[in-house]
Amino acid sequence: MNSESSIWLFLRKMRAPLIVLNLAHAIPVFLLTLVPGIDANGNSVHLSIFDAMYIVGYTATTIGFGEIPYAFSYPQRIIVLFTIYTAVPAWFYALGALVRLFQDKVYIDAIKMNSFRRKVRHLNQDFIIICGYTDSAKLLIDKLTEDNLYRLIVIDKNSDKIEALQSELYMPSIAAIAADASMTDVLKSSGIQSSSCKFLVTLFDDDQLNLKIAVRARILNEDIKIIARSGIKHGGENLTNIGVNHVIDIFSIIARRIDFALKSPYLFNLLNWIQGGNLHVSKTDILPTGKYIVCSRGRFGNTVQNTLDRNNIEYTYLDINKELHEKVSSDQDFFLEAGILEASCIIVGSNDDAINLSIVATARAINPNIFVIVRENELEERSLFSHLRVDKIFILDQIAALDGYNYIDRPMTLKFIDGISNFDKEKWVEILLRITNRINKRPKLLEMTIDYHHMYALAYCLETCPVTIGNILNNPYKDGLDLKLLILGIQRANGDFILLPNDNTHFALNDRILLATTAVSYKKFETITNHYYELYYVINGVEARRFRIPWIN
Amino acid sequence: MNSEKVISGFFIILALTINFGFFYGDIDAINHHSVYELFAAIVINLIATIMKLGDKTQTGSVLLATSFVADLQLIAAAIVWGVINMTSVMTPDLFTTVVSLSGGALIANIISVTLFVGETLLLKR
Repeated sequence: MNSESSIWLFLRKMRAPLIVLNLAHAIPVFLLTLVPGIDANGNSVHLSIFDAMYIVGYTATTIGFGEIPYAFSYPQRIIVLFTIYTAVPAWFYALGALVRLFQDKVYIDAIKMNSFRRKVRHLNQDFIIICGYTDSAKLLIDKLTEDNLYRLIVIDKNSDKIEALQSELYMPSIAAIAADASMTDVLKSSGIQSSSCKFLVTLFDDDQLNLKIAVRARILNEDIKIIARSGIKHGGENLTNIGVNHVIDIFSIIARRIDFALKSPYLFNLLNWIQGGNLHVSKTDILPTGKYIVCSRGRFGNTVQNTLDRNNIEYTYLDINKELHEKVSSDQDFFLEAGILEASCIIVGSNDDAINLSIVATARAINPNIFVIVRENELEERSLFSHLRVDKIFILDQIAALDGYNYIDRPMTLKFIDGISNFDKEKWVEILLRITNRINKRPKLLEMTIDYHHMYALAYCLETCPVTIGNILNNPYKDGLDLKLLILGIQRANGDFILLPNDNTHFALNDRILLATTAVSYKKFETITNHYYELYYVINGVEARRFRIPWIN
Repeated sequence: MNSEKVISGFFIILALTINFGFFYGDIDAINHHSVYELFAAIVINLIATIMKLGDKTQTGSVLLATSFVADLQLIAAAIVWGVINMTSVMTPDLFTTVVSLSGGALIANIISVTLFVGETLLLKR
């Protein structure tokens, strides 16, 4: 039931207790004024309506001040007795019923929904709707809050999860509601039809649910970008057809990582860096050559098999289905038969973490030197997996969250990776070394727009004179030090994308730039691009003349 | 026949008739206006108000508003009367205030009944 009608229902339910309360007071008051009493002098008097109301008021609420203003006559006492046995229970009933109504879950939900709607309405910034407070959504929220480009709205059916979210105390605050995100009403209340709603992210593990939400969202708002998680290749196409802008297909992301790793550890490392890792090529980044064993099933198994086929890797495929569970977790012969002693690498990717763990343990016991790649389904198992010292872990939730984050806050990273994946081996090494030599092994990755809002001085300067990348980044303060900042890509206003622009490339107004940098250098870069005199010095090597004296030049 | 309509209609019209009963008579003649009638008018008006709660139509909201007006005016009349009785003696001059307040409530009740009947007639067509 929607919240609007439950408020009305609530008011209707209040009718009975209120009428009872009304009559329980009115009838005794009326009777009390009718019955004669006796005053101190023995005269017959009638209580006024006010006196009668006073008496009924304190009697019904069981306060009981006594017989005021005079001691009651017997007929009056009969009425008061009647009052006590009717008005007092009626009062309790009515009060109890009202309190119960106010505690009614439907009513409280309706009130919560109203206050949520008000919060959404007063959100005067661009915002993102996130459906489902799952583990991956939590990671995504952490990342997005750090950048703080958009405000966030979270919908989840489970009120415990919403409470958990609220106890995280995010700054800026996140409007959250416990409701079914697949309902049109709920989506409308979350402001999906507002022009400031830029993205809708649905990260449920359930493909059908994601599909349902995406369809409704697309109908309600044509302009928002929809990001949906999908586990099925087939489902991914389906989602694209109904207008999802970005499908987070975790299995193909993992397949791509394995593919990149097989091509070159350097390329893998660049991708890994963009998806949250660092730029250090370690021993575990180099996949061994030789025979592979793949323990998996279903769609993940298929994607991995395709990837290995494409790279001409010889492998044995073990389908981990229900019947094999027992065998897999205990039987060493099963693995020996599969040739684990000769294999150089095992890819463990079932959808059950316990089984994955036991396979890893067994494999390591038989062949201690085997290279282990494992799929981790639940974030909580993190410590267990790291305890086993596997060589590579693919954490599904983390991969989904970072892919979504890249699409929202720095979409150029996707183009960057697509661009460099077409290069050859030497070039990958060169790019990686270029970044690590200039910056460090853990550069931050940012995306910015050159406009008056973000880079005032640079935008102002670009109106009159051309500025190249080298002008700003190389030796800006004429002390021989370059900024530890590298521009990885420029997206022109007309849609052209320049991958790894060289130092002579000119900036243009409304360019979007993707940059890798350190915090300190980024501060410097911001200072230069936002202060006119600073920028003038950096470009020309001399201070700008602040006062123009007309007769001297 | 809708029993809810019967009950709420009963109270809405009763509120008007009792209110009229109190109002009717010379405006400054205390013996033309019964205190019990005012008491009953207040009680019935409150019930009518409660019966109008939770009607989500546009007419329902206006009906509720007229009822609130009537309640306000009648309770004001009762308070004026009570305070005068407690502090001084009721005179015809002062009594006109009480009756005119209930007259205001009467107008609100007339509007309420008109709307109620009008809505019913519209439904019939």
